Amino acid sequence: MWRSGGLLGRRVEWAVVVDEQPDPDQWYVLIAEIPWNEHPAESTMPDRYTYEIHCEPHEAVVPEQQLVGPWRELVDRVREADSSPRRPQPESQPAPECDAEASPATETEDSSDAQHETDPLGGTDEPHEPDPLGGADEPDGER
Amino acid sequence: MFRMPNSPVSPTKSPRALCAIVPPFLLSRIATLDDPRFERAAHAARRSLTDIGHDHLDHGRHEHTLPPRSLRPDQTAVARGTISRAISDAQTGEILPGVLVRSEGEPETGDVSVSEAYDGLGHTFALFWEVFERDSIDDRSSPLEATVHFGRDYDNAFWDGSRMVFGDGDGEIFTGFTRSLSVIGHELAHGVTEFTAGLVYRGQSGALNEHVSDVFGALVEQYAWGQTAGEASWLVGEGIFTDEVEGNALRSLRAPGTAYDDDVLGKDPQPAHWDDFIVTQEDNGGVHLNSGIPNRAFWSAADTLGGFAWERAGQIWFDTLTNGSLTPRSDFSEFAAATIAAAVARFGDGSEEQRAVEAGWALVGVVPTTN
Repeated sequence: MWRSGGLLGRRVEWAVVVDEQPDPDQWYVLIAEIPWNEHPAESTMPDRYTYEIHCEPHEAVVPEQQLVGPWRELVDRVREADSSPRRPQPESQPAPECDAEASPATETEDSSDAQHETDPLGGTDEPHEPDPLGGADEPDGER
Repeated sequence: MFRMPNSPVSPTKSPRALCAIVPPFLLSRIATLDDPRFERAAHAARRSLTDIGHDHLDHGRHEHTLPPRSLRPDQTAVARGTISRAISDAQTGEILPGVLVRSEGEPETGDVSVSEAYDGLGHTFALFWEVFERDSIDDRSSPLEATVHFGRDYDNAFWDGSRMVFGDGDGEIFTGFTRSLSVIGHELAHGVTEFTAGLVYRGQSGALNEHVSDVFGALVEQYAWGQTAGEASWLVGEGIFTDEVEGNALRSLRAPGTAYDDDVLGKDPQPAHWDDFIVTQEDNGGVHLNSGIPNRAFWSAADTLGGFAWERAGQIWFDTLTNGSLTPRSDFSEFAAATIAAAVARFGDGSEEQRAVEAGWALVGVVPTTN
C-alpha cells in the first residue's frame, strides 16, 4: 500500500504479510469485507492524500477523504502493522499480501523502518508510464 | 473584521492609488512595534493606517473592533473588503469543521495554531484585497474558514472545497502546518482558483493549480513581510520541518528540486525544466512535482522585473487566473500564452513586463501556444 499526494507530493509505502501477522484470520475477514469492485471517485480535494492499495488479486485507489468503514480500518491496520518492530524477515513471504509495488523481500529487510520513501516515479530504473487519464500532462511537441 | 463597515475602501478605488509614501505593510509593521525607542514612529504609523483605512493591519496584536459575523444585523450589507474569519478546532479528530473557537474580532484563545491560522488568513485576505481588489476567495466577501488540529499527528494541510484544514504534523518530519504563512496562503489560493479558472486537479492543469497556489502563497508572505523579489526566500513551507530534517521548505520557486535533501524524505523531486517533466499516475499526475516548472518561470519573471513581485509579475498572474483566458484543462503552453497576453493587456505590447514573462517561460522550456 502506498500513499501519494499531500502538500508535499511525497510517496510513502507500507507493506504487510498477512499470514505472518499475529491475527491473520481477522485480516482475512477484513479483506473480505472490502468492496473492491466499488471504485471510489477520484480525489478532487487539493493537497489531500490518495492511497493505492494492492492486495492480491485486488487493487484499489482510494482518496483519503473516502477512507471509511473497512477501507479505513484496513489502511489503519496496515500502517500500524508495518510500524511493528516484530515485522517478519524477508525470506518468509506467504500470500496473500497487502503490500506495495516494491519487492516484499526488499520491504521487510529493515525491521526498524515503518515507512519507506520511494521515487515518485515508482523506481528510478523503470520507464515512466504515461497517464491515460490526463492526456494533457504528457510532454509533446506542441508545448 | 479587517475593515470597519462604515469606513470601507471603495471597490472602485484601488488601495494602491492611495498616496502613501510608506506602503501599508511597512506602516503595519511599524505600528506594532513595542520598543519604546520607536514609540513616536509606531504612533504615527497607527495614525496613518487609520487615515488611509488600513487600521485592520495590526497583525492580530490588538483586538479587532467589529462584531463577530454572527452578530451582524444584516449580512448582505457588509461592505466589500470586509474580512470574516472563523477558526475551528478538530481536537485531533477528522470530523469537519470541528468546534468553532475564534470568530472575527474575538480575542486570542491562547492556542498558537488558532492564532497563526487567524493571522495567516488575515494576511492572505490583505494581499488579495489590497493588491488585487479581490474580495475573499469568491470576490463576494465569503467567510474565510479554517480548521486546526485536524487528525492525530496528521502531517498535511489541504483545501476541502470550502475551508483550509491544518494538521499538527507528526513531530518527526513536520511540525504544525499553520506555522508557515506561505502554506496558509497556498491553501486559500486553491479556493481562489476554484472560483476562477477552475483548473482540474490532475496532470498539467493540476500542476498549474498547484503552481498558482505556490505563487500566491509566496506572495502572501512577501507582502506581509514587505520583501522585494530580491529579498524573498521564494520558499513555500519554510519552517514546517522539524530540526531533524535536512531541508528548508516544501518547495523552492527560485530553484525547484533543492528545497530538501534528507535521508528520510529523499531529495526534492521537483523538475525545473520542461525537459524533466515527470509523467506519473501518482500525486494526481504529479501535480506537486511538475509545478516546479511554471514556478521557476514565475520566479524568473519576478526576479527580472525586481521590486515587489506582487506589483507586476503577481498582477499578471492574477489577471491570467481571473480574466477568463484559461480553461479547466489548460496546459502549460496555454497558460504561458495567457500570461503573456495578460502582460500585454496590462502593461502594453513590447513592454518590459511582457519580455520578462516571455523570458521566464523560455528559461523553463515551455513554448506558449494558443488553441
